[in-house]
Amino acid sequence: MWNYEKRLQYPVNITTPNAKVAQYIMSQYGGPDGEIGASMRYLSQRFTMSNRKAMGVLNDVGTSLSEMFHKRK
Amino acid sequence: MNNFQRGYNMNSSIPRQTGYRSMQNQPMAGRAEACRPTPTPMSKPLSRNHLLKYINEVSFAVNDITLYLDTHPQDQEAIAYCKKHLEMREKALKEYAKHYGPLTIDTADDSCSEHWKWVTQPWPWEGGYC
Repeated sequence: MWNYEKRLQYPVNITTPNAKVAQYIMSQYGGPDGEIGASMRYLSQRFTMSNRKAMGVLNDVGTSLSEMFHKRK
Repeated sequence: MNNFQRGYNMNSSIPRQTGYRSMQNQPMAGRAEACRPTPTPMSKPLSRNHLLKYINEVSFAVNDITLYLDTHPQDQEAIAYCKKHLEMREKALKEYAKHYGPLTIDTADDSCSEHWKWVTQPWPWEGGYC
């Protein structure tokens, strides 16, 4: 299980708010091809990973990906 | 004593890319010169932004060494590095909660407040000092 922390992995300072761009970014985050989907794939693949170390990496990479917010521009 | 053994040092680790040895000769080492080093933390009262920056940096060190340990679980140096930075992180999170409100549920009762600051203070996407 995860615990939320009220901080971002990388600081974001929005100087010029732009709703259209925000929509794209939110879709990158939680949309059909977004980061959350990617992290869920890591977390699903970890269950059947035969290499124990790789199992750990899948778990922890999937965890950090879900903490991430990739910001572009 | 190499950089790894000293542990996380904000004046050198960030510009040199990392605190641990096996990455110092990697191609990207030294590519982050643009990152400004930060003055020593935890000594005297820190500004909110400064303390948060410190927490972000120490937390990154913890995240990173965690991934390394997943594939090198017997590395005693790395285990010591992880332990040290976990302690630094915990101390900084408590300090932050005490002065500025909690960043984690674990420190939610360190803020000496009558009310539940976790939900009354702004979230990161609302400009809550991130």
